[in-house]
Amino acid sequence: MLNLNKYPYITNQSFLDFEFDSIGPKGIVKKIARFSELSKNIYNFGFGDFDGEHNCINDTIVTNNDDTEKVLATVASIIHDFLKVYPNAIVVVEGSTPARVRRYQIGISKYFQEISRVIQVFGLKNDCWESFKKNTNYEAFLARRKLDMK
Amino acid sequence: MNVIKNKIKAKALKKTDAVIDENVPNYEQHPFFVKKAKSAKALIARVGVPK
Repeated sequence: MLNLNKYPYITNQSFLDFEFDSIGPKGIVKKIARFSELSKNIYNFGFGDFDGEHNCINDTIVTNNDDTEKVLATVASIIHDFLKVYPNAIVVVEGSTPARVRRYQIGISKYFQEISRVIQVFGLKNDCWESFKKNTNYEAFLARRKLDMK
Repeated sequence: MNVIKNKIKAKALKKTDAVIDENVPNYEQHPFFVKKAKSAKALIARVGVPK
């Protein structure tokens, strides 16, 4: 379990669908995350704000709930937990906008020391995956569990 | 085989911070995730996965 300041999150028996609440100046914003299976052991991680009134999920708006760090830590923890339950899974993360990709990059960089002990992280650059390096701009990310992950 | 898989999964679940709540819906068919999965599938088809 990653030792991060994060929100509590809930999931169902499939361990593919997750929900948590962001709490801040804008009130309570429900966040939805899902691991969608693309092919055997390859999953896409999608994540956004839930608008219950319109049954919409949006990953382009900026929530402005003054809790970006906590939300990113929660997302990191969800992916970490998922890889415990699905140890052979490869998780692909694409950002919805360049700014969002950049935000993920900063988040991964910030927690890289802790994350990299248990998870291999790759960044996509010029259509090639490479081991994640700080201060490098990537187009997408991929995570998989290290063999000795507890 | 499924019984063994379920036992392994149940054991792994205990090591997570997630709380199981059956009120969490299956979002598989939600258009947002369908769209995201389609995009990621195209990406993986194009660039593959690391060795």
